[in-house]
This record gives sequence, C-alpha cells and structure tokens, in this order.
Amino acid sequence: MFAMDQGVVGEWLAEFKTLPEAAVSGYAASLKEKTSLVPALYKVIRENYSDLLEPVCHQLFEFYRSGEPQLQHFTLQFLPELLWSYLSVTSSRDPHCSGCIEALLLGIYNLEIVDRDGQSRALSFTVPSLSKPSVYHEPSTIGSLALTEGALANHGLSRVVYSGPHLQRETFTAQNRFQVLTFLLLCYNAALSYMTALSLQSLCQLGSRVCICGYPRQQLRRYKGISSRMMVSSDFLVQLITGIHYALCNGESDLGSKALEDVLYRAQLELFPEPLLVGNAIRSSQRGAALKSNKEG
Amino acid sequence: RDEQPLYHLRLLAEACVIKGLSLDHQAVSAASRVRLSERQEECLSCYLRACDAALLYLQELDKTVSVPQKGTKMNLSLGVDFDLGFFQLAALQSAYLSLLHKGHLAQGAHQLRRVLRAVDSRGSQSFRKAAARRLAEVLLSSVSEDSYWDPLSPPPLAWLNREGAAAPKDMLYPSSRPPQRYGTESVFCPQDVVEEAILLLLISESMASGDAVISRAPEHREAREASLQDATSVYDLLSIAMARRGQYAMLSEVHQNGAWLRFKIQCLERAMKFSFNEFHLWYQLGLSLMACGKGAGAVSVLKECSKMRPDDPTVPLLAAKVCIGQLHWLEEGEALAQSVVAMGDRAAELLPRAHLAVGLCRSLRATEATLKASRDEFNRMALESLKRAQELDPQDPQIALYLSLQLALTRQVSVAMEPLQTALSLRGDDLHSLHLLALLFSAQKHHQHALDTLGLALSQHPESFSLLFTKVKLEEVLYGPATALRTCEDMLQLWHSRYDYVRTSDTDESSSLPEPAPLSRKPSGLHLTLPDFQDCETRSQSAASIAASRLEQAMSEVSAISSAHRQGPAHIWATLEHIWLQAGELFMEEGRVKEAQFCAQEAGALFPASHSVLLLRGQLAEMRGLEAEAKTLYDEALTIHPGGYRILLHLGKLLVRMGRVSLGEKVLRDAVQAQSTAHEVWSGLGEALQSQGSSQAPDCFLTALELEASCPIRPFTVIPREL
Repeated sequence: MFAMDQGVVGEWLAEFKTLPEAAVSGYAASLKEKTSLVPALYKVIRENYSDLLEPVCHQLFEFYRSGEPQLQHFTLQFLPELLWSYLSVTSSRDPHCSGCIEALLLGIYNLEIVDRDGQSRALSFTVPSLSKPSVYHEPSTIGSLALTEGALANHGLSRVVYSGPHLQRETFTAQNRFQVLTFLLLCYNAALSYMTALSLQSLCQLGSRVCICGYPRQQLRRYKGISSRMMVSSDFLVQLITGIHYALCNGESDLGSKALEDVLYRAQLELFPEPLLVGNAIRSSQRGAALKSNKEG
Repeated sequence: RDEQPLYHLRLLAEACVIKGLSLDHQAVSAASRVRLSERQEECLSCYLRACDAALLYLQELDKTVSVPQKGTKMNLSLGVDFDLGFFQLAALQSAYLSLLHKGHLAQGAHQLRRVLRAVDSRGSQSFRKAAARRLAEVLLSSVSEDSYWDPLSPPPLAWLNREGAAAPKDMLYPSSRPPQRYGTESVFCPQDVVEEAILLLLISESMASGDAVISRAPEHREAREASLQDATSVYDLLSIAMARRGQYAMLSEVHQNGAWLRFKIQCLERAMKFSFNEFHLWYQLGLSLMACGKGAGAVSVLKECSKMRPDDPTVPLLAAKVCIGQLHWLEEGEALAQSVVAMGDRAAELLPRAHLAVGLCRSLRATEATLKASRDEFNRMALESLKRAQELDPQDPQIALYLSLQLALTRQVSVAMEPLQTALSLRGDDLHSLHLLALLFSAQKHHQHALDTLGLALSQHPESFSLLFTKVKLEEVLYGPATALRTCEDMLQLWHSRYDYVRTSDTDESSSLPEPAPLSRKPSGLHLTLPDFQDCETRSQSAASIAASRLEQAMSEVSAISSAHRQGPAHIWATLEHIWLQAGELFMEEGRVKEAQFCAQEAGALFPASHSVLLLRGQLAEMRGLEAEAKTLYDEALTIHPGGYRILLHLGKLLVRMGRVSLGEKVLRDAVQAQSTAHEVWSGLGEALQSQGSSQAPDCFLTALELEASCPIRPFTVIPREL
C-alpha cells in the first residue's frame, strides 16, 4: 500500500472526527469529489492486515449509524468487498484478523433489522390483483380473467411478509452466519441504484469467487486466491443473483454474465432450486432480449 | 362532424412522429453540440406529442365503435383499423424507446408509465402488452428498492439530473389535448418496485393469454412461436420478481398456468420439436414446485424435463433430492440417481453427488429393512457407493460425513473417525459432523469428550434441538437427571423464544413464511429464574425440586400458549412433544411419578394419538404397579406404531414379568427383528430365555454386551440423511 493512499485514508479518518454535526450532509455530498479515497479504502479492506483496517471499519460504521443516506450508501458500496474478506478469512479459519469486519457487518445488520423506534422491522409487500382497479387498469376491460390472475386471485392485494422480523445478533455462529449475510445483501440490493461501477464489479467478483473456489471451475476462471470450498446457502445465492442481475444490465455485462454462470454452476452442484429458478429466468430473458435486438438490428 | 377531428388526430400523430424521426436522423450528421442538443430536444417533443395524439386517437376511435351503430357491418369494417400501422406504432413507442436507448432510464420509465396510465382502448392492446412488459423489465433490471418512486410522482430530481434533465419532459412540453387516463382515487397504486412489476406483468399476461387462442392453420405458425416467446418472457420476469419476494408458491401456480398454455399449443402442433423454450418452461415449473415444497409434483415434472434433455445430470439429481429428503421415495430416488451414475463422465462434477445420492438411498433402505439379510446387503452397497463418491471427490465435506455415518451405523466406530476427520477439516463448524463426532465419542464411552464436543457444536449452533437432546442424554449419564432436567428447561425456553410467534391474520400457508418468525421481544411473564418466584414458592424445597417446579411452571405456561395457536408446522410441535417426553423420562428416573405424569399429560395434549406418549404412560403405570393398565397402554401404542422396538421391548419385558413368558419372548424377538442393534432388546430377550432355562440366553447376553460396547448415547440415525 502506497504512502499516498495511506495519507488519503488518514485524512479521511481525521476529517470526519472533527466534523460538526450541522456539516454532515454537506460533507456527505463532498465525498464524491475525493476520487482517490474509494480505491484506497478498497485496498485497506483487501489487505486485511493493514493497521488502518480497524479505524476504517469503525468509521464506516459511524457513517452508517449517522442515518444520512449518502453516508450509508458510501459504507454500503464496500459491502461486497467486506463480505468477501469476511468469508475468505472464515474459510481459512484465521479468526484473529477478521474481528473488526465482523463487528462492522453485525453492526449494520443490527441497525437494519429495526425501524427508527427500535422495533423489529418486517419487510412486506402487497400482492397486486387484476380484480381491483389500479393506476394502470380497469378490471372490466381485462375481460375474462387471465390464467395467472386466476391463480393469484386468492392472494389479491394481501400483504405478505418477505423478510423479518430478525433477531439481534452479537456474534456470528455457523448457524446465523448466512442468515445475517443474506439480510445484508438484501440491504445492499435495495440500494443498487446508488452503487458505483467499482462496487458492482466487486459484487460480481464476490459472486464468482464464493461459488467456484475449491471446485474445478476455479481453474477455468484462473483465480489463484483461496482454494477451499466455501459454504453457501440458497437464499444467499438468490440475493447474489439479484445484485448480479442489476450489474449485468447496468454496465457490467462481462463480469456480470460470468458471475451469473458461476452462481448457477454452484447452485447446480448444491441442487438448490431457488437460485436455479431465478438464474435461469434471467439468462432466458437476456437471451430473449438478444434475439429481439438481432431482429430489430 | 365526428370524423374530422378523428382524422386530424391520426394525421397529427403521424406527422409529429415523422418529423421526430427525420430530426433524429439528421442529428447523426455532424453539427455543433448546441445545435445537436437543441435538435434532440425538438425531436423528443415531437415524439411526445405524437404519442399523446396517437393515444387520444385510439381512445376516440374506440368510442365511435362502441356506440351501437346500425348492424355489425360497420363494426367489422372499422375493426380493420385496430391493426396499428407502422407510423401509428412508431408514434406510440418512439418517445420511450428513444429515451431508453439513450440510457435515460428514469425518463424512459416515466414515459412508459404515462403511456400505460392512458385508458386502454381496443386498438392499443397489443402495444400495451409490449409496453407493460418493457416497463416491468426496466423496473426489475435497473430500479432498486431504495430508488423507487411511485407511478403517480415525477422521477426524483437527483436521478433526472444524472440524466442531464431538469424536469420530466412531459412538463416541459405539455400536451394541448392529453389522452384520458385512469383515475387515481381509491385505486391500487404500487408502492414498491416488485409490486409494480408484478402488476404490469399480470396486465401483460392477461393480454398475452387472449392472443393464445390461436388457429391451427400452418400459416400461423410464426404467430404461435411469437406468442410463445412473449409468454416465456413474461414468465421469466415474473420469476425474477416473485423470487425476490420469496413467493415460490405463487410462482409455481403461475408456471403451472404457463405450462398449461404450452401444453395446449403443443397439442395444436404435434410435430413441434422440444425447443429451448419448451424445456425451459417445464424446468422452471419443476424448480418452482420444488422450491415451494410440492415434492410429488416437482418429481413428475422434473422427470418429464429429463426426458426432453437426457444428457443433463442436474435434472434427475434434483428429483432425487426431493425423493430422498421430502418424499422418502427411496427406490425412486435411487433409480434417478443411478441414471446419473450411468452417464459416467458426462455427469462431470455431479457424478460424485450422484454416487452420494445412491449411497444415501441405500443407507436409508437398510435402516428400514426388516430382514437382516437385506439390511446387510443394503448397508454393504451403501458403503460401496459412498466410498466411490469419496474417491471421486475427496474435497466434499458432505460425502465424507455420510461415509463416516454409514460406518457408524454399522458400528464400525473407530473406522468411522477417519472420514469424519476429513469432513471436519473441510468444514469445521458443520452441525451434523460435530454431532456425529460427539455420538462417536459416546459410543466409545468417552462421555466427557462427547459433552465437550457438544459444547463446541452448540456454540456454533445454539438453537439446534437435536444437539440439545443429545446433551440431555449425556448429562443424565455424567451428572444425573437433575442436571439434565435443567437443560430440558433451557430447551423449553428456547422453544418458546423461537416459535412463539404471533401469526398475522392475513398470511396463510401459501404466503410461504420460510420459518415462523420469532418474536423480537420475549413476552413478559416467562422469566423462570426470577428470585421472587424462588422465594415465595419453593423456599423449603431442595435444589432438584426447585428445578422441577420451575420446569412445571414453564411447561404450563408454554402449553397455555401452544393451545392458542396450534396451526404451525408439525415438526415444531413434535419438537415440543419430544421435550416433554424427555423431561418425563428424567422425572421417572428420579422416581418423581407425579411430575412425570404431568409431562406425559402435556405431551398428550399436543398429540393425543402419539405412541411415544402412550409408551411413557405405560411405563408410569408400571412404576405404580398397574400392570394391566400398562399392558393396555403398550398395546395401544403398538397399534399406532407396530414396529416400535421400544414399545415391543417394554411390552415383552412386562409380559415376562407377568408370567406370560413365551408370549413375552415372541414380542422380544419381534423387537430384535425391528432393531437388531439395540442392546437393551437383546438383553431383554436374554432374560426371557434365561427364565425359561433356554441355552440361547448366553448368546443373547453376549450380543447385548457387544452392542452395548459400541452403542452411542442416541442412535446414529438422529443425523438426517439428506442431499
């Protein structure tokens, strides 16, 4: 790590500490102009042993806790890199050096599972229905009920919880690890539109590496880092695919399609139906789009 | 009088779009930057006017037709106009296409919404179908939850600025005569990106399925293919949207309808080969059925898929997974996995998993076999498959675990350690590997080691009831029932905190809550270690009875909760029953009949027809000297669970004690048949034979002794064998 990077990070650490509260939102907006900062922070996270890691994690958590959306997005952009760092350390079972990353991840998780009043948050959504008028249709003009609508009529306009409430976690255990990480990816995915290209690339790399390390495909990808197999869960892969889908459609088509293939490869080996279902759908819709553009072009 | 404005509108729309298109083309030629952007703006304003005019034209046209005219002849002649001409379609689409093409997602999405908010007319249907799908696509691929804005608001300023716009274009170029739009009062308005995407896809699909009534004529072949392609893309987008919300049950319903549509078209066109789409749709249906737990349906669909693509090893293995885990169709599962084994190298990385699946099926069949010969044969073959699997993939922790488990099941305890070490070196915190290690230690009678291992396992999997049950058994051996009862108490609390959830009234089974969500805060009133509780209630009692009465307290409170909502998944209640029974046994061990009876009663309240409860009650009756009652209870238990070796054991021993020795002996022989590795059964049989002076008795005792020497604290079968 170059002295210059160290300088940039050190400056960043010092600046926020002395910042008066009223200046926070202005500061958040000005972060974009520090072009060398973000790459330097990536380096700190990648080079796990750097002395700067602990204060950096601490400050990233402070950013998140501030509640200022731009600062939260600033922290979230590093999430894929942090997850990779955490997972690779966990799989190599070298527990002493991941402490501050663990604390940061758990900290974000514990902030996100509650609402502003500290109550457990359950994420829910409404199942739309064609039998009720909407801003886009009038039931009478739909005519005979559509096939799918018939199937969904029972669920029409009911609210369904899809995540939560979750328990507070003080430590990672083998049991809660993927539940926490999956939820963190869910939070990241919710903010995808605010993520930088660098962050999306890091997400695609995370997806590929987690899925292929230790398997024959690793040679194909010529990745020479860790060679032990990492555990994954089905829900975790679904969240990964959701993020990769966004990357794929928003500027990272090469890395994105590689990552999608790698996650599907692993989902096949694990025989997980959920990620296979979503991944196949994405692949097929990309294929459909390509066919169409061929015709049009 | 009416025709003139109509005619005008159409002309206006087409003129605008033609002007826009020509400006677009001119923009390609070099010009100054300012000129260029001016021209682009003008072009866009043309497109917007064209779109509004075209929409209005179609709406007005609709009105003239729906007013009943003289006879149907008029309608028919006008019906021709519902097919949009090239320029009309261009008028409708150009604005959003050009915005999206430039990467202006927010404005493109906004324009698509404006188009779709316009009241539907017969002429616009096929166009709306495509537009709705396009908007859903944009939303799902490029708008994340946090950046979503609802359909009635303009795009967020930050986003507009990023696209170099100061305000939405429709505000810059307001239309003089906008088309009529859907109302906004008391109608459903999506508040979330997935909600909107699903709504749009439903609308799109409702139009697609209208089209699907296709004629048989060969010249419509292309149309059929196109409508298949349309339907496929709608289903793909629905899959992406619903999977994000974990709605696999709904998704399976959607795919079922899709498959039905496919099937109808298939019938029309028998000669059609299995295209990519064909396989894809059936495969998606199979996966969605599997994901929502409809096992039997998943297996039959996946088997169909396998016929379409016999070279794909994933499909039959997925079906095998369902057969082994959920359905317990072992023969079917084995056959499916064998089909992958038969592919040999073509199965590539899935080959070792196929051997593993075969091994698991055989191992499970061995456990279920009633004849010793077939059991031994299945065990031998299981071991063979698992060894093969490990040779092929020595890096797979699951394979190593199950190889070790198979050795343990046949009581090759020390040999089992080796693959288990491999499994643990590959995945040190795996629940089942650690559990098996503890059981293997206990089989070697290293109970303290076993308990230490469990401590480690529980630190990684603190909420595993299976580990806790093993812990109870070990504590009973090492420290006596009082200590073990305290762990039972912990388990009740854990059960309470994990499963006592308030089910919201509007969710039903199909809403697929993954697991019942635990409460974040424990409800007050269940703090079992409150000092005041100790002081006033149990001041004069011994430590053990304090534990006992706390346990009772916990139990009755928990049962009060459990009776309130009992509709949760069965395994949750089975766990609770198991805790009660375990506590009951421990009380019985301590000679505390009253408390044990209480436990039996609570367990019985959960499952009145449970053979385990009847068994415990029988044992309690025996303790109180009520032999006849005990026998009745054992008999009842046996009618429910004829192969239960523990019931047979207790019944047999009771019969021997009651003097009905030969009947007792017969029952004990049945018990041996049912579970040949249980040493208690062998020693029971030995005693029965001895009391008759039979020379076979010593053999039985020897067998019992031998088995006891390698007997784990809980059977190795508590470790689930699943892919």
